[in-house]
Amino acid sequence: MRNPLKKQITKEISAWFLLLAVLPLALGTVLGQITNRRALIAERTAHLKDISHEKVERLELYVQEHKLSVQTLAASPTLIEAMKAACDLFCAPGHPSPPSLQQSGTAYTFLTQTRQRFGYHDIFLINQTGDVVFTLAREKDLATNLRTGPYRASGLAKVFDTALTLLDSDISSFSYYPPSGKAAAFLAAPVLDGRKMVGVIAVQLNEDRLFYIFSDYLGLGESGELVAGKLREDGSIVAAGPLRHRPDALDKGLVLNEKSALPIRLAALGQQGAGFAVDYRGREVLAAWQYVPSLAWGLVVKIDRAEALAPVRHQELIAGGALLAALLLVLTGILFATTTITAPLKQLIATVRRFAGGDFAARSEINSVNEVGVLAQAFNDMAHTIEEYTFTMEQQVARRTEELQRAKDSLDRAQAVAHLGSWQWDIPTNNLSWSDEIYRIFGLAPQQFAATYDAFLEAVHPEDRKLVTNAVQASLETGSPYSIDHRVKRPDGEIRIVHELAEIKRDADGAPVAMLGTVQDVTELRRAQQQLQQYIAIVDDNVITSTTDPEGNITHASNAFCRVSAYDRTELIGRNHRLVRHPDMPADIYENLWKTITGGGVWQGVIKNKTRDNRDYWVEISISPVFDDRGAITGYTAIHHDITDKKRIEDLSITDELTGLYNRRHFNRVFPQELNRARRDGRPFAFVMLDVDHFKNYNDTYGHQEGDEVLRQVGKVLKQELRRSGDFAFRLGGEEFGAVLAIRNRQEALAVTEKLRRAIAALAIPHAKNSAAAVVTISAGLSLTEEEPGTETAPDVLYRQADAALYQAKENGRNQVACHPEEA
Amino acid sequence: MKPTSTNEPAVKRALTLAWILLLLAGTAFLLQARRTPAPIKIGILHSRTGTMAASEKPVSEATLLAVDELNRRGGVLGHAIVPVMADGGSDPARFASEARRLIDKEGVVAIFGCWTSASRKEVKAVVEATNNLLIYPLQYEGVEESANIVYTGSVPNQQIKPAVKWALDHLGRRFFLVGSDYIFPRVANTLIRDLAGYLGAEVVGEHYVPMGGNDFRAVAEAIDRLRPAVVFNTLNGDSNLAFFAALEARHLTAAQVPVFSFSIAETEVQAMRGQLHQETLTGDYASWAYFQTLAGDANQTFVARLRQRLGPDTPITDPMVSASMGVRLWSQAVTAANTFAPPEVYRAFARQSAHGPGGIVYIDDNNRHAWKPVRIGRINAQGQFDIVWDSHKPIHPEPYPAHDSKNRWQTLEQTLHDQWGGHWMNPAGEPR
Repeated sequence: MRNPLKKQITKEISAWFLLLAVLPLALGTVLGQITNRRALIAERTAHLKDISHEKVERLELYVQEHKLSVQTLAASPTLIEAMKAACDLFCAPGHPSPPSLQQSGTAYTFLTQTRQRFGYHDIFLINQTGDVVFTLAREKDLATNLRTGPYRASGLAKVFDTALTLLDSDISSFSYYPPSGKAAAFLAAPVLDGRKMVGVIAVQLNEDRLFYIFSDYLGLGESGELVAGKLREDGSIVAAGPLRHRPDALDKGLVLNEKSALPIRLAALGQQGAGFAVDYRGREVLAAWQYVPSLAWGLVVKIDRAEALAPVRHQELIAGGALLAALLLVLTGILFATTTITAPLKQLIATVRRFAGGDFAARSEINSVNEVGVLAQAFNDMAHTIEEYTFTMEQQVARRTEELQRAKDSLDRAQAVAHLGSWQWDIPTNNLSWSDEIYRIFGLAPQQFAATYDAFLEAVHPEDRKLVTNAVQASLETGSPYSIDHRVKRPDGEIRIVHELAEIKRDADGAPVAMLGTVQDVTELRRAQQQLQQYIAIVDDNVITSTTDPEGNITHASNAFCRVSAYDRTELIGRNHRLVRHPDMPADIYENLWKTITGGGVWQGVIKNKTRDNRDYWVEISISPVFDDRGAITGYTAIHHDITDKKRIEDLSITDELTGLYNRRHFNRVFPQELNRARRDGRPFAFVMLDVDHFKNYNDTYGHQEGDEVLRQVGKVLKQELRRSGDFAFRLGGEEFGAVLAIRNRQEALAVTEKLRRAIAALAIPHAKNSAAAVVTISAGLSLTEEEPGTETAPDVLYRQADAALYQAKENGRNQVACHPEEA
Repeated sequence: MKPTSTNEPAVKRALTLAWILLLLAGTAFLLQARRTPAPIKIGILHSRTGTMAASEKPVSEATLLAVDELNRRGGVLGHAIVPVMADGGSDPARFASEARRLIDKEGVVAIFGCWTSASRKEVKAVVEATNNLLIYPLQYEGVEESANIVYTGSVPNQQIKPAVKWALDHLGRRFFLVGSDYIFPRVANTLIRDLAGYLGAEVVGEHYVPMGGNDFRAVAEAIDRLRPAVVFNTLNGDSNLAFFAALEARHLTAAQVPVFSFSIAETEVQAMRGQLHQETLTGDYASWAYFQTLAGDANQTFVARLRQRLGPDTPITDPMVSASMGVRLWSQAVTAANTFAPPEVYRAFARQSAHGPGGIVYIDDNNRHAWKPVRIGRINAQGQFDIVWDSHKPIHPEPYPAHDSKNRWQTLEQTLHDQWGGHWMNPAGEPR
């Protein structure tokens, strides 16, 4: 657990370090090494080239030097003479005796001196036929013929031939020369006397001076070597000089190009160059090679590759070591450095883990000054905050839980009280949850079993199941509101009625995901509603009710109303209520009515209405305004009580059949009532007694029927004239009429009475036996009260007064009005 | 605290991108630095028109091929070499003016060219005046040295001495000399005379014919009369055809009088064969450093490549090889000197050597002439040369044959030059 972390950070930092620091360093070192190596190789190669140039120069110089010496020798007059002499001596019978030539002192001395000076092993004089006519060393080659003699294959013979025929000085290679018993090389030059050739002079070269060039290893280190090779006609290259590594090469005639030996091959062919190659030993070397034309040699100056590159290798080792050391140093440094980071981090991780495990008191004790320390500190702060927060949260949670529980309890109780249960149906998971109340409604113990849709359907009354499922389906599919009543069959068999309401929760695509609903036991309610409905029906049938809007347009009319008014309901709704108004009804009743109800009061009264087919009917009405919750009138409701029959009966009982006026009976009731009313209202009260003049006479004259007709006519007049609501007309007896007048004052009463008298007279019913006029007339007696409070006149007093006034009127001549009290 | 840390992906991506770009830029820069530097011009000055055109054109082609080889291997010191062709028009004066133009206008660092000594002498003056460099590929009379010329052709001691020796050994002691009347034959014949004296041979006749001359009746008659053992022929150009025709007219074949020519190579043999009887040339001799029939892979490759360029039946000759070797050695000298500056290159020419189609060529450090092997060839029935003698190893070049003093040779040349009114050929009877 802990190690992976350490490795991670260390790995990362190591990788970055390697990439950013060590890698460039390494690259730089490597590049540096490569450049270094190249530079060293270039320098070494140049060095070798220089050495090879120098060697070639020295070799050429060597040859030039000797050629020149021989040529000079050949050109010296002394020698030319000695040549001639030697040839003559040789040609003379017998052989030259050494003393004879020795005796030509100058020549001999000259030659000896030359030999000494140049270190020649021997000097030869050879004639044109090839005879060695003179030598200093007096070896076996003396007096032999170089064309035909034993040494005709020697280098001496070769150079002699070249000098003779090509007139060129020539030098041979070193090879073993038997007469001298050692390796020798020869150089010859023609001896010319003017335009004539006299012979050839040759010298035998000692190897020392030449080979010194070879053995000078200055600048060639331990393994450096000079290799000279001569190309033979068979393609082999034979060693032409001594080899450091094969001292016997020259003696053995070592062939150099058996192994690759590229440099010597190239050099012997005339090419020049430098570089790495494999030498005649098969070893890797760094070489520079050239051609030496005077000797026709290929020359190679070489040094073993290992030795050549030794400094480089040394440097490479050092650099490599340094790099490695740097790497190790860096890595250890990284390891150390990262530890200062990872150690506290580990601690912190442990602390955090403890904290995460629930130990909210866990705190870090790291106090590093770097970011880790800051992190640790931050963690501590956070931990403290979390701890506090957690504590607060727990408290809050406890409180909330408590609140929630209380709310739940309230809800449960409310549900129980209201017999209202709630349910939640999660459609995707088909998970149904019921509140306790639903169980109770279904007659089950709360949470008796898990709620499922099927369990629900089981509880539904069998006959209502289809209804329920259809409603659910419809609601889910069409989104129509779910609101149904259905019966529930409890386990004990009891049927309850429940009302279900639900809303559907839909997701973003409109698919239903949940249904939340309520179930309320409305059995009692429904029953009550049912009863109410029944009552309402009864009422509707039997009670005349109407409801209007504030303008008086009918909004509702009960069946009874329709029946009594003979209108169809459709003919009533929307029409104004004055539709049933009977024209007989005085307008001020309706004014009063309207004023009362618009003022917010209730009006009660009796009204005569007319039916559709213009029949009358009397109703006792109570109209009350309907208020909304702000107190504004939203309409009026009237309850009518059909009192037509009662009225008829009443009318019958109070109506005089003949005239249609009220009868005496009614007078007896109304008279005191009206008197009281007038008193109450502070109005004057007027009572008129009218009598038809000489009525008996009329009856006798014209008959009873005519007499009834007169009474009828009088009654009609009275009715016509006394239309005001306070006016009453009575037939008190035979030809006696009475009238109670609603008047304001005495003048008015008189006027009205007068008007009555005149109106009847205006009937112009002829009455021959009338003393007052030719037509039927009446006499009227008016009794008037202008009561003052406290002074009350009894009704019978008023009656007697009116009666007295009538008597007076009759006395005064009939067809007139008398009043009591008289004018004051 | 900065809002962005270096761990954000955007920043990381940006950094990585920057790294990559940096690497690419670095690489591009390094590659850029190794881009080829400016090309260097060299001049190829031969006669592309005039009487010498037929001989000189193949040499200029060989030079071009050698330059192409250089360029194919990456040029010299990393520079591409651009050859600028110039036409000497077989006119020495034109050679001089063209050389001037090449040096002054074209800015060449070296001129490869010339054939006739006259043209060479003219160009010699120009390169010495401008301190430029001429690489001269032809065999010539020697008696010259210059701090501005490298001579890759043979000099008389290389070409003539072995010939004389061999003729002496194989043909006889009586020599007849015939040549065009200009500097080379004169010097050559002087040398032959010297050698004859030393070796005990006899010069029975020495005839000079004006340059381009074709009246050899007198010569043929003399040869017929004298019947020498060998005729040493230093005639130049078309004169050879007339000469051999004259011999043919007298029925003098190689069997009767072998002719040893020094100015006839495979080209000339091919050219003449069509117009002579077959026997006329067959069996005659020539001496060169190079013959087409030489053995060796180097030669075979060279012949094949040159024939690819010039035609399958093109004769390949010594001057062509010398020209090619001249270019090669020049590139070696430039590389050794690490500069194209003519004086340094001249200095670096010393001791430059290479193995060519004709064997080793080694530039002497004293006289900038070439050590070369020498061969003697005999014309066969196919018009090619069978090699009858090979020196194998390179022979030291002596522009002033060593058996006499330098002064003697210089005086000889100067005398002739003065006699000829400042020309290098005898102007008398010169057909133009």
